[in-house]
Amino acid sequence: MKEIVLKTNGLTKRYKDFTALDHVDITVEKGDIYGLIGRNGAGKTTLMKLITTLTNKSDGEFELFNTGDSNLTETKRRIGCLIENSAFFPNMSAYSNLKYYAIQKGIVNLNQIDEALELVDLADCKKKKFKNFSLGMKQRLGIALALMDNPDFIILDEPINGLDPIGISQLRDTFKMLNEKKGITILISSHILSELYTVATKFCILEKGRVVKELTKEELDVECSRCISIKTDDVKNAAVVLEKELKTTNYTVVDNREIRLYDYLDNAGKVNKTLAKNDINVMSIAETGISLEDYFKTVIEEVR
Amino acid sequence: MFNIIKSDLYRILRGKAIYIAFLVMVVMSGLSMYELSPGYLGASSAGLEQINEDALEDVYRLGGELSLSEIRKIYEKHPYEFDKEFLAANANLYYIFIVMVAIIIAADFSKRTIKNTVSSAVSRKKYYYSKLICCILICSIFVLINNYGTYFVNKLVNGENFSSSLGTITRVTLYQLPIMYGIISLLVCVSVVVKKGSAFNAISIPLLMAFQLLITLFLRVLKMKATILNYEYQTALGKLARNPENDYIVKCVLLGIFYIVIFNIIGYYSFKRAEIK
Repeated sequence: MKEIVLKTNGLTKRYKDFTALDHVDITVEKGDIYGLIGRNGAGKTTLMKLITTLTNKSDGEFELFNTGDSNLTETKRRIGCLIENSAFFPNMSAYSNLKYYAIQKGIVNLNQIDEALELVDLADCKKKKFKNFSLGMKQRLGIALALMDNPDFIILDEPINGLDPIGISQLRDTFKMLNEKKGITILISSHILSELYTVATKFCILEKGRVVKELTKEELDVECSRCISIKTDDVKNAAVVLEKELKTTNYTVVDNREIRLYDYLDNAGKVNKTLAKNDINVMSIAETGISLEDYFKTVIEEVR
Repeated sequence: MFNIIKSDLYRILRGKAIYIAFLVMVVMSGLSMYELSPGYLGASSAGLEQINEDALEDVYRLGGELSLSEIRKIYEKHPYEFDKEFLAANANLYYIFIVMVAIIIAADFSKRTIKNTVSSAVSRKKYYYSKLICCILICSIFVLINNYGTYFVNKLVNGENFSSSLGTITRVTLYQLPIMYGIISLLVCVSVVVKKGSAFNAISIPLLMAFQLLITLFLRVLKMKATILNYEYQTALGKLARNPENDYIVKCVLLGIFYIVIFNIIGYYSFKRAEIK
């Protein structure tokens, strides 16, 4: 069983009458790249702020590396984070800014600063003042700070905001490398599902402060892939017919009214005919398959 | 805690603000020494009548605008303990304290760099008290340089006639420090409550004047005894420098401790519950 890095239980945050996060339960396991998806104001940043203790919870609890939220100070040594936009002292250089935090964290080996700058491709700009950085460079410096001191878990709030396509691609490779080679668990948020799809291994869709869906990449692929959606009031017998008559097990039962079949994509008529011949009441049968964006929209619409 | 203080010192010594503040302090001290008129700059003139009535008479007799050298010539005829009187006008250092708290704490809020620290392995308690200690440490260095620097340079430039003893300077410094630390605690409290650099400056700069105004208003409305004014910051620092009675020293030290405790309780609990943006 994998080590649990983060587990939230009924985590709630209220601002007077407004509930920003409503009883959120998520579990991030070691080695995951966990993508938090949601529209602006869905609660992604609030969740990350709670985990990093930048704000106090209203209700519920969470654990980081099996340590309760009341005693996190030392455990936070194992995490690195970038919440909202990166923030540094504008009149100090990239190197000086990182050195300031290296001293603060008690990092003795200052080579870690150069290594972190190297990872985000800022080694050549280390003497440049932060105020002269472009938006993308500022974000990358924020990521460098999160990576300093070799964390086991990094929390990145919309880290690719403001980056150009090449920068996004480079960061994506960096995240994958950190995850695969260094075994770093990553919690990353975005409001664009297709952006996260390329890096994340697990997804959590948030809407209005609530977890709408939590699924693995494989499950997301299944949800979005091209298939024949069969709606019937007798799912059990329909599945038997698919296996016996059409000799296929390449289907999933979505709920007690829907089956998704991934074979016979060009022959829906044959499937319909076979089911009807075996007294299965088919209410509808249609070829389906949606893009990530459409899937995201559908899930959000269901909640609204 | 030590690491946070160390990192702040690293940052502050790389900026310009601390050197500008130091330069302002040296210029204030230098001009005062040259003119032999303590508290030359700033809102808190020591009050000529309290220093040297004879000199004041000469100033009035000559009338009109006097140059620095003319004022110096008048004072040269009427020697007094300049360095002690300079310390009586130490309320001027309040503005140096504002700058220090602004660069150590308020800047962290206004640049939003505080989130980098609070989200790391630093508890809010450790953050708050490290910053407080850092402010007190740096402000103390300024006070010591201001007091002892003025003492030694004054002795060298203006001679023994205008100097008191090293013991007197040390005693006055020790009497003044608790109430100064209380005021620094107030500034730290304001900075963490307002959580914005601009708001901190807007509140802290006129704060002493507003406080004086409020006390005066209370005295008039409630017809209270004016002795309460003796414990107002600027007046207290002045009185502590001029051979105060033991009873007054004790009351001022206790007032300083009260300020330190109360403002840090308010500051810490406000910060503990605050959302870091």
